[in-house]
Amino acid sequence: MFGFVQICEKELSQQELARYRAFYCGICHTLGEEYRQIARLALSYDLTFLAIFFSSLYEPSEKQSRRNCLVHPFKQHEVIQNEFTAYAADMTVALTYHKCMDDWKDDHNLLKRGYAAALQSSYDKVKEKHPLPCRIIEEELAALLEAEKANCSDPDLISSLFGRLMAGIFGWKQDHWTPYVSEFAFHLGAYIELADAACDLESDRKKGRYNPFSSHPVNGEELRGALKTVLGAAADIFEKLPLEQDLEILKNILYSGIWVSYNTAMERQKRRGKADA
Amino acid sequence: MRDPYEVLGLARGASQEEIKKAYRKMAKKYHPDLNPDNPGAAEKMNEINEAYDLLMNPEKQEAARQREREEAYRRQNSYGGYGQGYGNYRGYGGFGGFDYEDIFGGRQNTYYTQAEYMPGDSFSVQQALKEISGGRYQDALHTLNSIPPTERNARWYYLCGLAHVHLNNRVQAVTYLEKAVQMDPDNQGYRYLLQKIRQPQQTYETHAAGRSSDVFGTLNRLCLGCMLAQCFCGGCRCC
Repeated sequence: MFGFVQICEKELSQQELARYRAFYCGICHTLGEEYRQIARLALSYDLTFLAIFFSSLYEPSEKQSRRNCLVHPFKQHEVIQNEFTAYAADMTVALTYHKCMDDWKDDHNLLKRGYAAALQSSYDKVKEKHPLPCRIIEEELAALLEAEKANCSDPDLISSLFGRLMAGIFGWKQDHWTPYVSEFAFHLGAYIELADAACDLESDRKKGRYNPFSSHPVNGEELRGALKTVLGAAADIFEKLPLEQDLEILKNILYSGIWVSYNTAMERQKRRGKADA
Repeated sequence: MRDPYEVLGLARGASQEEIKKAYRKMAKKYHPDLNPDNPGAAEKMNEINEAYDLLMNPEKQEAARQREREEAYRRQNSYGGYGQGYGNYRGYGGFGGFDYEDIFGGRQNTYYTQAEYMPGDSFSVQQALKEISGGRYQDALHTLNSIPPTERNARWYYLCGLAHVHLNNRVQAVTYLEKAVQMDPDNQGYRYLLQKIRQPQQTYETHAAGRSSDVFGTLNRLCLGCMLAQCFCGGCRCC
């Protein structure tokens, strides 16, 4: 589920890559400073996109610094922190907390339950700051779990649940831009859920696990056109927003990077198909 | 309100790029955070935002205003509806929905997208047609799914696709209509509806032109921490 909204590294300039890293590291440092070190494990590309996207829309003042960290103890790296890296850190905690709790409820994954427990006090802080997005995350993930248990074969319904989750996360500001940004996020979330399901389809079918596409007459590759229809709805909104700052990074993600995970999975399925044949 | 071109300091007929640039320039000048001592800044910002909306989405703005009027009327008359905020957005043709006006509006569209009775239609198909015209799309799908696989011809796929279009089920609409076109490539009606709902795919491909969409991933290169994170928190696609 996480990691679809990423960059296509080879098509970014060194400067753009450095800027992307700086946001990424900014969220990481905020997680460590505001919450706890272990929260930094929850860092994701998807919420890095959120931070860069909102920073582009609102152009807030940025705090730039050069820092070391555990993973980079000797070489200092650029770090950007602003109100949106802070929000991205908040949502990282919230999403990860709920996802771990769900994984625990679903298949008694002790490790995930342990991690959720480790994030409890951090999550309580986030919930106080952002009650509505937290509630939406909880509700939509619960709805997804229920749909899975009911063996729901409606991929559009499933995708709309994660779409609503993303809309809830992106729609927190409740201002002039919220209707557009929420709907943009809705379609992005729908894409993520569909692509995730398509990538898992072959292995889910083999292992008899739930997948919303199980009873549908298409395979992962055939869905590419339908996936572009969903992304197209997101792009229609995106292209009308007054974005300038870091626009190239955002476009790189939406038009290239967003296919990386999907392509990798389709290629693997093809290779496995040839091996089985 | 004032002429939106005037608000943004633009000449008539300015391009979308020019409108965006003008917005950014004005936002830098009037953003309340940058003008803490100016009480009129927030109001000015609202005016700028509205002007931007009008210029970027003229046709949708009117439709949205119409819906707002209807909503206000409903609220006044204690009609249920959503609470404030999340879930109540109309944005572009409804939250997440197809552009109905574009697909079903206009005489030509109706000609191609109306589900008309055809001689030879089985009882179930007739039932489904009645349900579609009556707006009972889930019932129609239920009826269509009761038809045995051996009788599922292009028309069956088309009717399923049509029901899904009405339900805003993008993926199922596209996959069923693609199958209908595949099975009956000469049917103009099927092609037309498929083309209409695939419009976002075409605009996506236009925006994406010149960018690689066929890149594969390698194990994470940004940060070791991220690699751990991706694998741990579910979503790792490397294994």
